[in-house]
Amino acid sequence: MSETYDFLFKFLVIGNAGTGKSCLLHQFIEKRFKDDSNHTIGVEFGSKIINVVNKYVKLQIWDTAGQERFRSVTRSYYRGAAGALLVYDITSRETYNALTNWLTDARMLASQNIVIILCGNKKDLDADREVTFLEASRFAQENELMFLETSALTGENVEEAFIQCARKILNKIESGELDPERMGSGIQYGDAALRQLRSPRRGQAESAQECGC
Amino acid sequence: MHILTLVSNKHPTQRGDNSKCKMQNALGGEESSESDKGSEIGIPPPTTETDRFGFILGNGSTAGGVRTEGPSPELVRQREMKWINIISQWDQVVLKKSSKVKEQCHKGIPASLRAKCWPLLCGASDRMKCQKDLYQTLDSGSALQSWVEIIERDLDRQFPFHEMFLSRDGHGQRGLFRVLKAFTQLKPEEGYCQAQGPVAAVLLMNMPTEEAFWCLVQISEQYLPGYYSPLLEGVLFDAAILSWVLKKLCPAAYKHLQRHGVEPLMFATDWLMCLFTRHLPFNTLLRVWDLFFCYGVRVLFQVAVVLVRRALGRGEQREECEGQMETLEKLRGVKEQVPQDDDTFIAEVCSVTLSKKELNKQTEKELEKWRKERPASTFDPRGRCHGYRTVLARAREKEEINRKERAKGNLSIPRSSSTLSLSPSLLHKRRKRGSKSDTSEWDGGGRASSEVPGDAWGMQSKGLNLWRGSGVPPLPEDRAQVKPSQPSELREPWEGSHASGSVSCQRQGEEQGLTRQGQTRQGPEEHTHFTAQETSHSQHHKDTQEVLTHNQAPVRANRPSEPVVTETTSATETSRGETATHTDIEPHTDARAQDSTPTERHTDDGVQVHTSVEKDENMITNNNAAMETRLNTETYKVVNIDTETDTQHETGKDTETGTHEGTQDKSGSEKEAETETQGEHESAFHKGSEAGVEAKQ
Repeated sequence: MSETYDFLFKFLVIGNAGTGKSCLLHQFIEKRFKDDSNHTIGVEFGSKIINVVNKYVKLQIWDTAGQERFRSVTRSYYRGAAGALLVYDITSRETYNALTNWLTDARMLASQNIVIILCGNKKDLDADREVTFLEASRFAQENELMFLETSALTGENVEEAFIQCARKILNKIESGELDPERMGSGIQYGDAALRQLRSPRRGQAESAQECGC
Repeated sequence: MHILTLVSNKHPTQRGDNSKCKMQNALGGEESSESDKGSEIGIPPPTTETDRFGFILGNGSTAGGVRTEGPSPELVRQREMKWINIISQWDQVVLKKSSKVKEQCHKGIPASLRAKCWPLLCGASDRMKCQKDLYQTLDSGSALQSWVEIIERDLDRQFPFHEMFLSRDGHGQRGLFRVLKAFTQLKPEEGYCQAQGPVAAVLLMNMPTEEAFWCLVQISEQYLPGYYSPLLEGVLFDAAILSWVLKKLCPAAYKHLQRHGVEPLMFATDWLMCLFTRHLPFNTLLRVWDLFFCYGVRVLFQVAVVLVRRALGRGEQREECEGQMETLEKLRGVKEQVPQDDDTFIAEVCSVTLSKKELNKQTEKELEKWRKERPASTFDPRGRCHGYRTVLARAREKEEINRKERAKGNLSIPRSSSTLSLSPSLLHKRRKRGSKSDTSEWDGGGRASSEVPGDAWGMQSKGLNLWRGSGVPPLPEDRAQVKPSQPSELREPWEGSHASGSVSCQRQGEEQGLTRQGQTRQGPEEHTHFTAQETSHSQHHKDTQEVLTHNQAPVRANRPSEPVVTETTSATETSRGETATHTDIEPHTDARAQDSTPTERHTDDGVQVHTSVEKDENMITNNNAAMETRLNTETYKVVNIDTETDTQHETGKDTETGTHEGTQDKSGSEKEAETETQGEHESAFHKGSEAGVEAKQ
């Protein structure tokens, strides 16, 4: 791979169905709004390298299905996530009310130390707002979350959300609060050489043979 | 002619307004779309041009992305004739010439007939017939508001670049709403799962709303139970099965996945749940569905194997994917690796050596593990339908149940079957059907009850196996109640009619010499009834309908008047025949037969049939058994046929490839211009299957 980066973080995007998770991801990666997105079944992926405090960080983003029943499946994706965007829709109280459940899942299944940013999406639909900024802000504070209101449509605060989350993780690494070497931290060093060393040689021997298909 | 063919590819109800969509029958027209990219706006230009599936051209979406023209009109025409022939004599063809159905499913169902064939294959047609007004009732009734809201929100997220689904008021989105809404009403305990959206949408592209609804019901309930239910247990379970399939069939790719921590749930959840609607070119998708309706879930695994092989089959491909993410991205983008030529892909799929038997065996193993890990779960996938043969068997059972009900005096209730579905006592009768092989382990769950001809259509229960899972055996009274109230003359022993008796005899002959079957098959006579038919495809539907009603009528008319004596005799014959043909494959069947005392033997011959199918899974009391025998001999015959052919089919070659090749070869004797094209297909097929065999060795 030609791309170089200092760190790789695994990110999750979680929250109820229809809150705009996939659109946030699309906006973040493609810098435009996707108005014809299919609903996510299972999980979708995206990755992007960003520059945060002079470090190149590759974000590996797992965009999960929001419908309640998919939780049994999406739970298997949480493992080893370093950060998460917890998304609700400011025009739907129902999606806001579900936040606690999502939070529990994330902390339990990913890691206690997972860095979460709360995103009140669809900021552009202010006229239909059902959840006030203040209210959500308080919730974020109580639960030690960062908080932003975003709009996947206009792109407002979208990149910001990812960057803030990544910045906090970097800070935690620097302060020693997070150890990238620890298994399941969701953080990897991005040094290409280091990665190759880590993958065993026998891997190459194996991959040389055809899949017996 | 060509234009007609293309038109026939459209949604059946759409044929009237062709002005809306100018069909592209020249490749040049389609290619022009390639330059247009990246439009993010869902609003098409006023004059909408579509590909032959109805996907808007000139839009960045690759939803359709089809550049192939499809089979030649002549070939399509020929296949249509064959299918019309099959449809018109469905019952007989399925019993006698099942390989014909399979063969035609492999070749691909003509677009004009999918509306008829898919529902027929999956049993939707039967349910529709039996529960005539149910859909209308549900459709006009109101659903739970919360579901309505969720469904409405998702409507414009299905195939936004398909002409049917462009606007909120278009018949595509409206149809989608009606189908999904009706489903939540039919199965309130399951509700709506987002993955059903794309499935329903593809159905709606091919058939009217009511048919689409019943197909969705059959898929959700019979073919893929647990796939869309609140816990998605079916998907979790099949992800584990897929893991095993990959390990077995593409070991190097499997090792790669393991090394990088890639699990099937990460890449195959929507493959399975959406039946590949989002991951295959549309022409290929339809062909895959043809197979799916024919064989059931097995096809999903086979396709998944092909996709994994295409993404990670070669060493250099795996080297490119040096981490989890890279591997996942490769798998997610597998559509690019799929050839545009659907024949090639289908041949590859069919060459994947995965038999129903193996699958059932693994299901058993996996289920054991599953139950240990999830003691509370009542999920049991063993009863799922492996294609149209199982469907047919169940349809027969249901007919019997209905007949019993009617005999009980329920005739006054017009929608007896839906009433039936609500009956709690019948709900208990839910039982699993599935693996007809290796069922000896099946009693692990502590089941100590007899085989009940379940209300396969009793739709209200949560799983196929409600009573099993909950440890509640079906009450013998459920059946005992039926018997006394049933006068013998009302028993309608059509299973014993000469007609079906001779059918089984013939079949027997065929089964003893599978290879002879094809030779005796008379290609030319198939066409005799249809030579005078119009070439118009819309006409086909009408014709088909007429032929259908015409041909089925006399068979049914025979049934009630048959004397009971005949029934017993022919049942005996049949079961003996069955046992005989079974012996080499399933030796313990004979042992069982010897266990029965001579007196029992006469009346309980059907039980032998029965046991040969379901084997040790029941400890049937003779009373019950005898009664069931009388009522359900036909059912079991059918089940048996299913087993037998499948076993042959598996013994022969472990997958349908064996049978398929056979039939393909034989098809040479049939007069058809198709042969040439088919030849290519065949050779591709041979190569594929050989490769498969080698891989296996």
